[in-house]
Amino acid sequence: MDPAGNSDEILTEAILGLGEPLVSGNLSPDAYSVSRQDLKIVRRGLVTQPWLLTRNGNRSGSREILIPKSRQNMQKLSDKQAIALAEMGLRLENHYGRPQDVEWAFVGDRLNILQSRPITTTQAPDASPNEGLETLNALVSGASASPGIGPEQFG
Amino acid sequence: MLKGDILVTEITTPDFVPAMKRAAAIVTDRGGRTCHAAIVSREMGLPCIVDTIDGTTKLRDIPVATVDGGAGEVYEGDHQTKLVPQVIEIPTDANLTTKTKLYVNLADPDSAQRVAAMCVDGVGLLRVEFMIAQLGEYPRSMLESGRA
Repeated sequence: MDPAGNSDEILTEAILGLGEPLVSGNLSPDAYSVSRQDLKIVRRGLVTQPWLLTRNGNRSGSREILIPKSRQNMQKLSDKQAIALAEMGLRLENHYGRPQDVEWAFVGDRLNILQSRPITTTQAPDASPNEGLETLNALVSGASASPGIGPEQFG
Repeated sequence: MLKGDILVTEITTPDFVPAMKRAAAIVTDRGGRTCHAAIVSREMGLPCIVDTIDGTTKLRDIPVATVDGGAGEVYEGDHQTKLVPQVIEIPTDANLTTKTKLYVNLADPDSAQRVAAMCVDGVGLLRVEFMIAQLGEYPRSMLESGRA
């Protein structure tokens, strides 16, 4: 499911290379939303990825390498892969009995599941009235990661 | 970083958590909806916008801003909104019994009571370094002034 938005959609985020920069937030990922009902892609959010993290040859650790300009804007997952991941997400949800936060990796065409854990916090899309906001000067915009109407705001 | 400030940063790491707790909202230059900043913000119930690309530059000299976490927009100036609470029920495994003992990683003393009520067998990893960071004071100065 999408933990910060529509619970009828399955959200998948993807980058090229190892996954650590996705977890830390150092790289912004492609985002694919797939409908839970018919497993069709509802939305693709594609981003430019300037570098990737890879294994450091035969030595331990990892290293960053630059991605050629011509490949920086490519779609990270094929539609087929995005749908296969959504299907896998549903299988894991059925197995564990609740929505899952899944870490995975494609090596070639082979899908590997690395970790699956329950989604413990979700927030419905913010339905609060925002009258007057449009009169303000918009400064920056980005991806909604949390509407922020959790229990803290209601004391 | 004062209570109520908006934390604008390139990314967040676990070291940012004490500052995130004081923040009214979090805005990052990079990251997706599954990155550290996003997950911790949802845990804390804080509005969070990621992947603004140049938020740290554009918001640097803005004295007061309003963050609409649901829309992913930051506006100049103050805007008060009446929030409409919505609750999504997530089932809990209150009576789950597992053959494997279940130990939690605990970093936040404030959540000890809540976690203890879950079906856990104990604490496997206590993140003392986070607890000390949350004191907001250098431990040696507390020792020297006889308060620790």
